[in-house]
This record gives sequence, C-alpha cells and structure tokens, in this order.
Amino acid sequence: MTRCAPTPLAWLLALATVARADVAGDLQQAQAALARRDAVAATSACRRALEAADATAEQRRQALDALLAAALEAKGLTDHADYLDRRRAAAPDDQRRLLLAERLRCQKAADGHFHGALAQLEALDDEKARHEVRHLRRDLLSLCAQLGQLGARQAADARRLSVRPARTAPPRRPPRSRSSRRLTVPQPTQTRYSPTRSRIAPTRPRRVRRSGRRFIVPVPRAPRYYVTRPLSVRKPALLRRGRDHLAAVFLSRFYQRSSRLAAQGFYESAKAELATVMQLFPNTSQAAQAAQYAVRLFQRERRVAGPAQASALVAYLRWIRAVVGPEGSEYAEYLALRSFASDSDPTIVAREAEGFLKRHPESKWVEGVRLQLAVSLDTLGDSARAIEVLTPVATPLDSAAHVKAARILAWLHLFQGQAEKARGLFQALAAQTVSPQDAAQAARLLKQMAALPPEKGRLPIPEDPEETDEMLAERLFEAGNRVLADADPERAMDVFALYLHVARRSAGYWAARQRIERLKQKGQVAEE
Amino acid sequence: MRPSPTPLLLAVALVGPLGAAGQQAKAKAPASKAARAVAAVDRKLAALLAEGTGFELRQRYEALLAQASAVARTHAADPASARAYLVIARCCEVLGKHPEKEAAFAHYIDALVAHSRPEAARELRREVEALVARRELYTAGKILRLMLSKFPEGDQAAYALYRLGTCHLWMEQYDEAASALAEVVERWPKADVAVEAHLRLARANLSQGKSAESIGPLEACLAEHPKSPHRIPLLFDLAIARYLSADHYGALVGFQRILREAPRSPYAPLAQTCLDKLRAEVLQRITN
Repeated sequence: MTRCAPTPLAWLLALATVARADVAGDLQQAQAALARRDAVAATSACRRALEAADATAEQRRQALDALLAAALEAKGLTDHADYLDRRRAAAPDDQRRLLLAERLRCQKAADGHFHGALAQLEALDDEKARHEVRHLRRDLLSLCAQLGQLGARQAADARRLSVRPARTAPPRRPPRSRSSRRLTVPQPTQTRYSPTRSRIAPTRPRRVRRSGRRFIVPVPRAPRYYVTRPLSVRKPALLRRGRDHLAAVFLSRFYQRSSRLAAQGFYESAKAELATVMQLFPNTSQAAQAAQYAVRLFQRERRVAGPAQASALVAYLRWIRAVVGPEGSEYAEYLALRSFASDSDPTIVAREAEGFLKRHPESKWVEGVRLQLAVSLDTLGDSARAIEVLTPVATPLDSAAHVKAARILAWLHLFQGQAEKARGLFQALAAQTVSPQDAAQAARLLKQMAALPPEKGRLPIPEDPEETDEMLAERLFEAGNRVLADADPERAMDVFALYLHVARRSAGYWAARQRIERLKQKGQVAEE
Repeated sequence: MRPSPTPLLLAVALVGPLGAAGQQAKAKAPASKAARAVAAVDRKLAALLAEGTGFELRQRYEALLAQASAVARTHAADPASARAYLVIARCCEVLGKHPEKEAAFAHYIDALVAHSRPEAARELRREVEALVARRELYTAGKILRLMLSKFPEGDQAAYALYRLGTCHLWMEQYDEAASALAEVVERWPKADVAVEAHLRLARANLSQGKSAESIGPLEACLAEHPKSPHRIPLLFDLAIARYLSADHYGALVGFQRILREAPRSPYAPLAQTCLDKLRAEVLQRITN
C-alpha cells in the first residue's frame, strides 16, 4: 500500500489554516483598527476571530463587541445584522444562542428600543432555534415589563418626593354679633402671618420589588472594549478634593466590579478597573490595596493558565510600570517580589531586586528587597554575595526586618560550614528584644548546637533548586527499589512509605503507588 | 607409686565406649511403628503436593487426611506421631478447612514443645514467614499469637511481637502496629529484632503523621546499638523524623552525618536532596 505524499498545495493550505488560527492576534488587530477608527479593517479582523474554530467563548464575545462597535462606527448596522443572520445559520448549536442574542442587541442598537427585536423573534420560525427563541422572547418580555413598571414607579416616587405646597387655612370669617348694631370699636386688622406646615423628615422611599429570577440572556447594553494591553489605559486627571473619602469609595466600587469581571474570567478588564484606582489616587493606601488585589488577580490567572504561563513576576512588574509610569511603584514592586519570588526564576528575582535597590535606595522596603535578593543569590549559588548583601542589614537588631536578616544570615553561615559565625548571630538574636519569639527560637537552637555540634564542611549548592521536590521523589523511589533488590522488603516498604508521604505531587506518583500496592498485596512487584 | 587399675575399673573403662556405641546403635536402629507410619503419610503428602493442589486431587487429600488422623490417634502416646498432625494441617490447608488446620497445627506445636522447645520455635518461625510471604497476614497473626502464648519471654517473644507489628503494618493497621512495636522496643531493647522494630515503629509513626514521636526512640536506639548494620537507615529515619517535625537544625546535622559516614550508600543521594530541600525551605520560611 502506498501513501500519497502531501502536495505543496496541501502544505500551503495547512499553513494558511495555522496562520488563521491566531485569534488573539486578530482581536488585537481589531482593537488597533478601532483605535484608529478603521472600521473596515476592524470588521474583517473580528470576523476572522469569530469564525476561527479554536476561538474561546470569551474571544467570541470580544469579537462580537468589537464588530458591533465597528458597525456603529461605520453606520453599517444593517450589514452587520445580515452577517449575523448568515453566521447564525452556519454556526454550530453551542454558538447559536450567543449569535441570536447579538442579533437582538444589534436590532436594539439600530432602533433604540426592543419592539423591533420582539417582532423579529416573532418572525423567526426556525425549527432548530425554537427553544432559544422561546427563552429569549420570554426574557425580553419580562425585561420590557419590568422596565415599564420601574419607570412608572420611579415617576411616582419622584412625584411623591417632590415638595408639596402646604395647605393654607381658609380666611376666618368674622364672628357674627347677636346685635344688629355694628360695633363701633374697629376690628383688629388680620396679620399677614399664617403658619405653614412643612415636613422635615423625608418620607420613607417605597420598596421596589425585584424579580427573584436573574436574567440568563446577556442584557443588551452598550458595546464595551476589552483592553488587553494595559499600555492603552489613558491616565485620568488626578482628583484633589476629598481625596481619602473619594479614594475609599472608588476602591470599593472598582474592587467589586473587578472581582465580578475576574469571576467571569475577564482578568484584563478586572486589572484595568484596579489600574484606574491606582492612577486616580497614586501614593495612597487605596492604591496599595489595589496593587495587592492585582497581585491576587495575577496569582489566580497563573493558577488558571498553569505552569506553562510566563513568569507572573515579570508580567506584574510590566503591568505596574504601564499603569503608574516607568519608575514603577515602590510598594507594588516590593509586594511583587515578596509574593512571586518563591515561584519565579531566581535570576529574574535577583535582577529585579537589584534594579529596585538602584532605583529606590532610600525606600522603606529596602530591607525586605535585600532579603529576597540574598535568598535568590544563594539559590543561584552565590552564597558569598548573599552574605555580603545581608551583612549590613543584620545589625543593629532594632527592627523586625533586621531580625529576619540576621536569622537568614545565621542559617547561610551554617550552610557554609561557618558554625562560629552562626553561633555569634544566634547569640545576638537570643539577646534581642524586638521579637521574643525569634529570641526563644535562637536560644533553643543554641542549646541544640551545644548538644549536637554541626558537621564541618560547606554544603554543596543544589543543582536545580526548582526541581528539588521531583528529585527527592525520584531518589526515594530509586532507593526503595535498591533496598528491595537487596531482599529487604520491610525496609523497602519503609522507604516507599516515605515516598507516599512526600511525593504526592510528583509526576510518577500513581505508577509508583500501584507498584507499592502490588508489593503490599502480593509480596512482589512484578506483574503476572 | 601409682596404684595399678583394678579389674573393676578396667571393666568400667571397657564398658563406657561400648555403652556409647550401643546408644548410637540404638539411634540408628529401625524406627518405631509410629515413626514408620508417620514417615509413610509424610511421603504420601510430599508426593501429593508435588502433583499439585487441584480440585481433582481433593479425594486423595481427603483419604490422606483420614489416614494421618488414624495414625495420630493410634500412636498418640508416641512423640514421633507429632509429625502426623503437621500432615493433617497441610491436608486441611489444601482442602480449605482452616479452623481444622489451625487446631492441627496447634497440636503439632504442643507435641514439639513437649519434646523440644527450640524445634517448636523454629517450626513456628518457618510457618509464619511462609504465611507472610504469601500475604496470609490474618492467619500469620493467629500463629504469632500462638507463638507468644508458648514463648511469653525472651527472643522468641520479641520476634513474635515484632512480626505481629509488621503484619499490622502490611494491613495498614497503624495503631496496633505501633503498640506492638513499641512493646518490643520497651521490653526487649537488646533483642535481635530491636533495631528493626525501631525502624518499623518510625514507619508506623510516619504513616500516622506522628514523626516527632519517633525522634526519642531512634536516638536511644542509635546510642544503644552504635555499630548496628542498620545504623545508616536509623540515621536517615531520625533525620527525616526531625525534618518532618520542623527541627531543621537536627535534620541538617543528621543528613550531613549520613553524607560523611556513608557517602556510597543508597541513602547518600537522598540525604543530599533532602539538604537541598531543607536549605530552600528554611530560607523561604524566614523570608516570608
């Protein structure tokens, strides 16, 4: 049987298919085109993204948003509606509902009301779309009814809350005299004063009933833009009056919006919300809080994307510099170094920490950054330089950061085999009063050192510090197998029990566990 | 002047060697009737076991069981008939009559104990090891309890309790295992199995997440048996127990000692990796 070799035409087709599958690139092109008001280019880029087979639901939504924006820009809503109809007819079942909702939104954008959309739903008699049409129609009708009721209630409330004129009392008639003779004494003239009643406390607003059911269909709304590149965030003017109060209010609102967006998976938009707070109120506690929330967003995004994603530290620092300027924010950078250092490449951590120390030598976070720098230098094998970096911070022991630095320095000396220097530092730590907990720990360690003197000699630097867990799992399993080969199944089981205890996350855990279970149940590991 | 040997003394001197020779001749003399009968059923059993234990041989095993029972009943008074009970036990085992098998084996051990205690201990150990190798752990536990009742003190008791502990470990009954092994460690600290009992106890504690409880006994064991062949495993388990109970300094010294004392053992690369992990963990913990 012969196999046909692929023709050049087939190769070209395959290459074209691969090239077309860059949905994110198309969306970026569309955004760029929209930014320069080039509706035609934006429409074609969005259609490519929408029609791509491997586009995600969020990317399709983004493409539809941008398409509608482009149609509004070019005043071509009719063409857009036709395109949506064609696309819906050709689309698979899972995309049809989104496209139908988009079609209604387009209709609403063209008409300014829902009546046309309802009429269109009435006209749709598609067997495939019957279910979706019924749902959408019901939702729209409910929405229209609620909007009507809400409008009426708001009007009534407005009427009721408006200032009512106080009722004026009718002028009193003069009392009738029993005598027919007119009084000679002149009647007192009536004063112009008349008491008026006015309500001081405002009336209690009536409760507006809300429907218990939430809308499932995306409610038509103005098209939104997803900013995927934080560089395009425009810096608003600073607000000066009532800054603290405003900052707190803004942070609360923007944080809520950001968490809602993050829950829907729109991380870039969520970050943009927090960036707004940081730009409006720089150097405030609210900006620091926003930076902290942003760290959480980046961590969450990294968890979702998995280990294949690029360094979260680099991404965060890039973002923060785009938001607050090339100088960055001291606190945000320190926060990033503290939060992402353990999962990041030590080379990058060391580079960024050194950059920070050069840029902000007077910062109050210098000690914390020096700690991170020392740990990453030690991980990279440059323990001597790590000690050099930490030594000026470790004395005097008058703050928590200095105590921490002294502890790290003492351990580094221990790992370097310099027990005397370590002992001196532990003695100083035991004598300090800033952190009683650390003092007690140092005292315990000194006792241990007296009872169990440390071995002499410097410890070798780990080859690949990131793979330590995996290596430990591998070596444990190897050692267990070696002991088993030496006909000592009981000791092999000791080692395997330790493997099961520490290697739960290693790559070959389940295969190893099966092997161990076989040994446990049958007394042998070979499969029959 | 030395007195010359009297005729009586000469006679005694001649009779002595002759008497010993007579005893040897008596030992080599044809066996008793009971011994012959037992040897016959033993041979039959060996032949049957060589053929297998299939269902088609069931009747022949039944017949052999009846024959061995008859031999045991007939020659009950003769110590040579003990082996007949072992034949009965093996037949019952093949036929799946486990309570009968245990009773017959207990009879066999009783007879052996009456005759020779070391031989009884040897038989018990052999039976237990065979059962553990086949992972018949529940039955092994019963035999071990029988052994403990026959030998409540000394090395045999230490062995029985240690093996009982390991059986519980295989069955993942960590509480029972820990209590049995702890008893071995406390009552017979110098027994042959004491060091191994320490290692198994460390495993039981590790599986229960009580690594800190292993530190004291392991240190005591290292002090008690400084030249034990299990020294490096003991050092490793001690260092791991210290590491898991956050005694970083103790763990550091322990792993360093393994690297110094046994750089070529299977534990050396493990100790090196543990040191790397410890280093990263200590620094990260202080930094954060």
